[in-house]
Amino acid sequence: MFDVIIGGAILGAIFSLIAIGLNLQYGVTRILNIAHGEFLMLGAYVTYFFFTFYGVNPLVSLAISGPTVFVLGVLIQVIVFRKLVRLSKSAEELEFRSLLACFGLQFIIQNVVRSIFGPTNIGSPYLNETINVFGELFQLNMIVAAVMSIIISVIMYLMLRSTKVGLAMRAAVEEPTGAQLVGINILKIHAVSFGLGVLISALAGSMLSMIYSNITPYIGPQYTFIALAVIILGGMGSFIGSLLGGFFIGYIYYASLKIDPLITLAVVYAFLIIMLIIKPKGFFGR
Amino acid sequence: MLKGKTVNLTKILPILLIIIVLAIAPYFLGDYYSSIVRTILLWTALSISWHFFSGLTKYVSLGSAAFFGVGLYFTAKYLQLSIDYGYWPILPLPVIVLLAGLINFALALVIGLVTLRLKGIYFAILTLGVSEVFKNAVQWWEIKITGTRGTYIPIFFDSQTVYYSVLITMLAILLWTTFLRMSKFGLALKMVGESEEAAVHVGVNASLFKTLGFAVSAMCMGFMGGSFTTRFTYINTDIAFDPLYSFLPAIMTLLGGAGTVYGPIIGSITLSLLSEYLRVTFSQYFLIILGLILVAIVLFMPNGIIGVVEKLKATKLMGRKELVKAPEKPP
Amino acid sequence: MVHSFSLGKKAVTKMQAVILAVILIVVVVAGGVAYYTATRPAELPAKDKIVIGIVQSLSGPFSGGAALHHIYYKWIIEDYNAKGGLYVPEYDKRLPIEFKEYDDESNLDKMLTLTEKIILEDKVDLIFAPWSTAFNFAAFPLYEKYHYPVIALTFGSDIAAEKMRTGEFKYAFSVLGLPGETGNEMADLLDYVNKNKTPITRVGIIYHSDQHGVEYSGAIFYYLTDRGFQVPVHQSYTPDISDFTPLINTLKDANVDVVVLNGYAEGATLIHQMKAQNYNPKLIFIGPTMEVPFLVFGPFGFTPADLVGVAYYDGWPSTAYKTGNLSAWAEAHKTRLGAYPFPASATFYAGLECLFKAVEKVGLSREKIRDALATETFDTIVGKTKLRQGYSMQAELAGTISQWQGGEMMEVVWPLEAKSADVIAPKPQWP
Repeated sequence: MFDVIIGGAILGAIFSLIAIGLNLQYGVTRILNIAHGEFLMLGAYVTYFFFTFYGVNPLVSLAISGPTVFVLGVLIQVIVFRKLVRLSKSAEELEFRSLLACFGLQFIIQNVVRSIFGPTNIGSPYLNETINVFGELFQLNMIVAAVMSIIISVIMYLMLRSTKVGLAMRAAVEEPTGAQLVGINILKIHAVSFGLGVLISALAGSMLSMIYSNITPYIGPQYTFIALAVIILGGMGSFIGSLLGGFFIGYIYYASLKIDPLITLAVVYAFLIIMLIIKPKGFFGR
Repeated sequence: MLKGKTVNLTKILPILLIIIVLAIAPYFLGDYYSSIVRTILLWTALSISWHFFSGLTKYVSLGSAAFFGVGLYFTAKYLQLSIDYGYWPILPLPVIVLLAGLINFALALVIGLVTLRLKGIYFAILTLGVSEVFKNAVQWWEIKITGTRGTYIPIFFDSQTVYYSVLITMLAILLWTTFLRMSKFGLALKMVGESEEAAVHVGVNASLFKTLGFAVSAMCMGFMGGSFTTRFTYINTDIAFDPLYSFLPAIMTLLGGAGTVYGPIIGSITLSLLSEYLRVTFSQYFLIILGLILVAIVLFMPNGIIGVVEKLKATKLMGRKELVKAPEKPP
Repeated sequence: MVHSFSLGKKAVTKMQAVILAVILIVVVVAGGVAYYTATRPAELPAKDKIVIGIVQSLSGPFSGGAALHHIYYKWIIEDYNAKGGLYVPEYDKRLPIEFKEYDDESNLDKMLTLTEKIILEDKVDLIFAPWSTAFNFAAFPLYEKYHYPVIALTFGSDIAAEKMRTGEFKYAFSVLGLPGETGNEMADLLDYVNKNKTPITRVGIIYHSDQHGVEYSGAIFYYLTDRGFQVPVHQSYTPDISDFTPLINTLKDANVDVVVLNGYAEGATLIHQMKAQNYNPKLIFIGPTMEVPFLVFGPFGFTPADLVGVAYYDGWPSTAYKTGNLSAWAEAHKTRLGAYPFPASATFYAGLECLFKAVEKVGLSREKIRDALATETFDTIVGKTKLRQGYSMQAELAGTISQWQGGEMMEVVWPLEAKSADVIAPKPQWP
């Protein structure tokens, strides 16, 4: 029984982290990045690269993959999305166009990675030893990943709560016009939020590559979907929603795995749909 | 419904000509080039079907794969179960395709009633989710209940048959959607797209028309899926419910010009030809280039090809390079 | 007018005699030339190379797997080009081989369209097969229609093979062990293990939800239960699964002696997690990808000691690379590709060799090549090799089931006549 509690929590922690990234960036910029999973995949490949060719410890490589993807995210936001926001005459138009732009990004990122690293599975296996938790055996790297995810989430939360940048972001989420009136550089905040969102995703990817060796350029979409399910459940724009939603989805996923591994994804999608129908704003949404 | 509108011969004639050319194309194009034309016809039909609902009502649906897939899968399964196993009565293909379309209509009615309460990005994600659920549900049924995976299509249709099935279905869809669009039904959908609240105020039953519009769009995609079964000898859920069938019609319509009548057609033809050219020329990097083009389209051609053409026409008309300026103040 | 022409009289003038002689000579010469050209074989069109058409999944979800057999396409072409090319009897010389390659993006419709392209547009001489059973099967009607004999390397479906056996697809040749054959072999092996090594009564099967998983697990289930084994677990999972712990617990609870995984790279995750859970069944069977040295000892993070006892049901005919001239080939493989071969590597190469040797024997007529492939036995790197449509390839030096035994390459453990090492059962404890 403990295996469900802990197993679900491990998955939940990782899912929360990925969702928090997507949520942060959507909440501020109002652009739903469906290529979010591709940045996760990039993080995994950066870690793999440094692990395989330079022997860098995957946990240490977080310090490389995070900032690298952050810079990439900022660049993409400035080059692509800033112009999109200016061009679009309505919110729906912006949503539609950014959806397609992200789809284009997906193509580009997936295939650039494939051209460089090839399509076969890779991984940066590390900390595969077993540890005993309440009588149940777990892989050390999964526990480490879960703990790190929670730590990063807490850091994010503190940043949003206490730092100037964080406050500015929250202002941009709640009152975009008001925020500008107070002198907040909205453009800069958008770029930073997008960058941070994908940075978080990349950190999650780096940790996943430590655990799993079936990383390919195509693992992005499944994680984007899970993040999407989480933020819809938790409410788009709500940090707490993403956190709790992540754990909820983690438990559902783990439970379905126990019952019938064939329906795990279908169950997550089903929850997504049901949620959208009965409470589209999610449990904590605004 | 078409009262008061005369049939414009100068518009009809070139269209008839194109249809005739398409009809005799396989005879002088050979199998391979006919395949390319057929692929273009497929995407054009899907874009037109998608645009009929999503273009007019501005409810961006990303669940086209669900309906195309059901059309494809139902037809394939029916052929297999009626011919190979004799469970069901053997029917001529057009009847099966018709059934596939009707099933999609019913399915879309149910889905529409539930999902059309949402707008914008929520609706888009929801339809995407529906598409994936369909795929997983069919897959689950196959593996758990029947112990199989995928369907073998017992008849091998020769390429002429495939081509003409696709052509006829595409023309039928074009005619049907054009007819509906020019009618009051189409007008209602357009009003919903421009301002749903206003439409309701004027007394238009927005919910009814939205749902029906969604269902018609789905039915057309079902027809196309059913006709396309002729192309394969084996399909499975990944092939039938490929997300590409959800995304490409939207992309092609945007490329052509969202919200215009010819947008989907121009967009599909352009993107299909462009893809073929890029694929053959750049092989390894073709998808990267395609992605870049897609981003470029979204950034620099927001109104699609038609938008660019309109802009060119406007500036040419004014005889100046800048856009229309305000008239000079009288002295 | 003078009509004085008559053979009987001496009225034949000198002029007339000359004319007659000239006419006769011309007729004789013309007749000779006509006879000569009529009986001489038609002039062959000038040909300076052989073109092979390849439609591959170079991008998209299948590209990872497709890369594994693609390397053998390139290798054999290079090997033959190093000799000067492929010998073609009609021209009595070797012609260099070129290939035209297209990416089907893991999309079935595109694969079919591109196959039509290489047949109708590029008019290639030979075709190398695409990746995966589904794609191969979908392309068979085209090969049939246009008479292109194709060796379907990555093909493993009995339902599809049935159509090859009935003669519906005469131009397609299968190579790998099919589900029914595989189930039979595994049942034989487990029988042997049960009688000679360690008792085996219960088997658990978990399988990937794709065609391969469904058919192979179904066949194995059938043959094992038929042979008297109990199969309390027969569970499918979707490809996204990353945590096998619940499944491992199910297997533990069901008290199975043997675990069969009909799947791919997720087998690595399964083994890592079995190790973590300290779950050690008597035998584990894994599927494609888990037999590839450069993957298991590379990105999957295993050492040879980790995998001792893990067996592989698929990918046969498998050769033990320590026998005869295969060890040289294995070393060449390592030098060329950076890793040792997997069990089916030589099989893939040998399958292609059959095609090339058929051409060298009967020429470029595709109908003749097809007949040769269907009836002849060829000498390849795996010894005397015969292709059987709808069944696995018959190879002199190859067996069926392989097992990791601590080396960098797998050993062949079944059948007994072809084994390179005795099967290890029960599997030792995890290191």
